[in-house]
Amino acid sequence: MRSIRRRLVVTLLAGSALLVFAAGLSLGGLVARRLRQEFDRALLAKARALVTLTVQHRGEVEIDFADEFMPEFEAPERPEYFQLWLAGGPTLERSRSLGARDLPRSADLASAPRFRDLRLPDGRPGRLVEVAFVPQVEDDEEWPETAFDPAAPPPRLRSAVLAVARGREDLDGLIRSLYAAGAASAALLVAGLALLVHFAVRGGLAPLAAVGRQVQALDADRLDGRIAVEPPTRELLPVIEQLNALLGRLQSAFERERRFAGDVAHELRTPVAELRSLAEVGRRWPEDREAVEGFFADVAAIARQMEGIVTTLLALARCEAGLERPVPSRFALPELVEETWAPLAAEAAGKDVRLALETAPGAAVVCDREKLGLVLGNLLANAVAYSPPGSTVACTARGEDGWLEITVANPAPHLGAADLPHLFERFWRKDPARSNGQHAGLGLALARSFAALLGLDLTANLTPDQRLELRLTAKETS
Amino acid sequence: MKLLVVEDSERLRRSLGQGLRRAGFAVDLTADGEEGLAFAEVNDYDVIVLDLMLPKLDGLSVLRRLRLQGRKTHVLILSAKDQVEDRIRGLELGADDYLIKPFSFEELCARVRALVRRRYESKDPVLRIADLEIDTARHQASRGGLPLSLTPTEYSLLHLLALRRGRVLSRDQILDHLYDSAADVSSNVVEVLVYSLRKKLQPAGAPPLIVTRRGRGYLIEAP
Repeated sequence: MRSIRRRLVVTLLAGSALLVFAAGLSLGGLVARRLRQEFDRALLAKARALVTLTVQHRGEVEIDFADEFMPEFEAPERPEYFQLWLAGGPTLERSRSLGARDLPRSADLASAPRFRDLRLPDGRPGRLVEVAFVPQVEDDEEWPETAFDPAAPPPRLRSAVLAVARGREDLDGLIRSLYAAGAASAALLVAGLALLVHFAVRGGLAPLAAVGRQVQALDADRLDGRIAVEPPTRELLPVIEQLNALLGRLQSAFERERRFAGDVAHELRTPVAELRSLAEVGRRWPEDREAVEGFFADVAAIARQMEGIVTTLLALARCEAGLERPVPSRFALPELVEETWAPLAAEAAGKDVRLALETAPGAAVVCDREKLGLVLGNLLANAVAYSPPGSTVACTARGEDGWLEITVANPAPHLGAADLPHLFERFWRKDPARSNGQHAGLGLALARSFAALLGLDLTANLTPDQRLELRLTAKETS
Repeated sequence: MKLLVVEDSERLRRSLGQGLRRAGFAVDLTADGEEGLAFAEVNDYDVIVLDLMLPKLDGLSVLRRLRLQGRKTHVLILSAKDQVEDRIRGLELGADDYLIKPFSFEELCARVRALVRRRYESKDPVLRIADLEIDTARHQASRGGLPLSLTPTEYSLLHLLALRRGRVLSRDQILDHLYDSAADVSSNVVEVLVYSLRKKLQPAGAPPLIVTRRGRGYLIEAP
């Protein structure tokens, strides 16, 4: 598995080590080159000093060299060497340190000094500079001015070649020490960097690790916690915010599902308890015919109630799963309202609840007639069920191509503003006792789901005169 | 024995009332918490069967108020709330038992009887007084080993007198425990009932079991 920490450590460490060694090598190379240049410059300076001591006089070349001024050429240990030749000619002079031996000599002459590495006569590694030059002509006081004859040919000048060599073991040793010190410093630096990278990466990734631990501790039973890193880390902030938002949604979904499961269980427990009690009491005392017959009627009512719950839940599930599709058609809105009210009229009359219907005659809309009827039916049924006896349910329905607006309003003396957000929740009822078993609290939830499917907006409002107003609106009908 | 059933489901309330009465209990029924509390405050019930989610006043509030008033009536909570926390809360507020819906009617009867026994500090389901035996689980009584043929109300009276042996029960106390509060009974129903029970209990020559304390009531003497 990939590891961010390992990757960071390896990359930073390898990169740092590479950079340190490259920088060390470059620096070492530069210093070594400068040291060699200085060495060559010193060697050349010594050669030029010897050149200044070389003169020619009447075609004869000689060097005015004294060992005592330059004792390095006769030192018994680690001596230096020089040799002077006439250009293309024999040796004129050589250092005492050379004895009878010769320094290497180029076959041709060059105007610029030539440097080369060589093995010195005493076996040490060395460096040699070879200079070709014309020795200066020495003034001769014994050469009278009168002797000068302009017509006479000029005197012939001789060229000479000088080679100076010295051991370079000190230079090599210095360069080796320089590289060794550089390598040791680089190794120490890399070790230090390794520690630094380790702690920096660990410290830098600590907030990430903290987030990881907190995420790991999450489970379905502990979704109320939120991810937090102290102090806040800018880079992690978007991740943490998204995670917390996701957790919030997940928690809501879990709670909704738990509540839903609990509500379904509770909703079914009571009718099942009724069924079981009726069955057991009826079976134990079957001789009480009148009671047993009453029990059968109760059983049928319970079956209808449970069927209603299951049917509504299935419709909700189908709608929310996207299995329902609107089938639009053009139809008259007033007719739909009247058709929807018809099955509720008897119940409303029983409670002395009146419908005040206000529609625009001939108003026609394009929508899924069946599903809009289902939504409207639930709104009206809710209004009838919870209206006090003797009250009026007001329904206004207007619409034409492209928009519709339906409002159902009824007195709701016991409803408060705090109840409005819960109105469309599944199984929510103002009275948690659920005494009559006729209303499971699914009607408005179903209405809102189908309204959304139809592209309609279903809202609830409590008017100042304590009437619940459910409004179904859409600018564009589906 | 007299019970109060506070249950908002009409169908469940009806079947429970029917079954418990047939099982020999006098049963008062009510659908909401306020009325249930009012019933419990004016009647001496042996057991209250109490739903939790009730209109007007929820079951836990009813229970809390009863206990605040110092009433020791045994309360059995009958609820669809099945979570451990719900049960703990109910029991900690002073309920004596908790039964989750759906439930077995037989189990409910058994638990109610157990609470009745607990009220009268009797652990044995078989009550014995001299040669009289009352099997409270089977609702049967026998004397001298011979089974007695008693009506449910006669059995209830015998059971009540046996549970309170040695103590005089007034006519009103007997009425309270044997009949629903709404029952329309004639003024001499207790006397008629005692007379008929004595006849069935009293074989020729046997000593009388139920004693009349004139002006006070009836009792079964403690052995």
